[in-house]
Amino acid sequence: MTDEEILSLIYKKNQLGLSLLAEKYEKLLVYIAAGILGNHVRDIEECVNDTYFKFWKNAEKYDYTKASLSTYLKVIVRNTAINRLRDIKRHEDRTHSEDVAELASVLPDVSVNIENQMMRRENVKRLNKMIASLPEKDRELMIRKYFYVQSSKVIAHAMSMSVTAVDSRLSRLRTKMKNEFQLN
Amino acid sequence: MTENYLIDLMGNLDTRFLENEYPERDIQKQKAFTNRSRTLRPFKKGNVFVISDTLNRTINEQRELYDNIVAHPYEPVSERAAHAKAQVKEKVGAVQAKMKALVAIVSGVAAMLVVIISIVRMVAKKKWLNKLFGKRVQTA
Repeated sequence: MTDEEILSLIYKKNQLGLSLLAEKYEKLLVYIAAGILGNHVRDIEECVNDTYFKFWKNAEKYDYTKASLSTYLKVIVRNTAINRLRDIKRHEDRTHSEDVAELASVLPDVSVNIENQMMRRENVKRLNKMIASLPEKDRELMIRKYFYVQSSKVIAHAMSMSVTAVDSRLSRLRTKMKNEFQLN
Repeated sequence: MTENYLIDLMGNLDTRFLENEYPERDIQKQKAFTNRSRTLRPFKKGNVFVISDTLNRTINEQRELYDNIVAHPYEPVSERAAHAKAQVKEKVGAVQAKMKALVAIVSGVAAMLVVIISIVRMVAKKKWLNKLFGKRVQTA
């Protein structure tokens, strides 16, 4: 079943489209959500279901020419998982072994800070420019670490590198980004 | 710039940078690894475990040994010696009986052979004499 066929069913609000979407992308979405939420199995399930729900609700807004369906879903599931992790940390005093959780626990919820919205938009533009200027390998590292929020161990395994190499390279990239942000 | 701020900003990253297949590749890699490790494992799902002959023999030997131990939990040394002697005697008796039977059979067969040979010889001689006399009568 192609993405177009799935989309046409969803546009017609046919539930079959949603089940076909789930059948095709569930593994991918679970993998991304699990990478961010760790061992919170129920939260992973809810996060993936939220993704389907959000897509179902906003399917009309989706522009096929801007991004492929899988990319669109990746963005939704990633942001949903980050928000959920933030909620978990906010509402529950649970200890989490992943360093990612520590990061998310102190993540600023920018949506509530309206004053910084303009500045944030500018920073996003800068970030996009910087990411575009990076070599392919560095770009992959950045996206894996800060978009998919993968641990250094996972990245090292996926990119056939050592954990130390991943960490030092990321540290260099962060410094570079920091300098460029300060310069601009 | 802190890491958490970077994570937050990445939520709005341009989708053209996400038109890659990093997670898909990871899933493929995981699948390949799982398949490989499955082939390396001795027991595949659904496969019937077959005990090798050597293992089967060892198990049976051990079971016999265990059964013997259970059947004779304790036997004093003197009794054990008497028991062993009786067993040896029994075995020797059995072997002797077998040998006797074998000798009897062999001697019986030999006697039968001698009798058969002598009868054959007698018959052959008789026939030859008849032939001889018969010819003589005819010529006479």
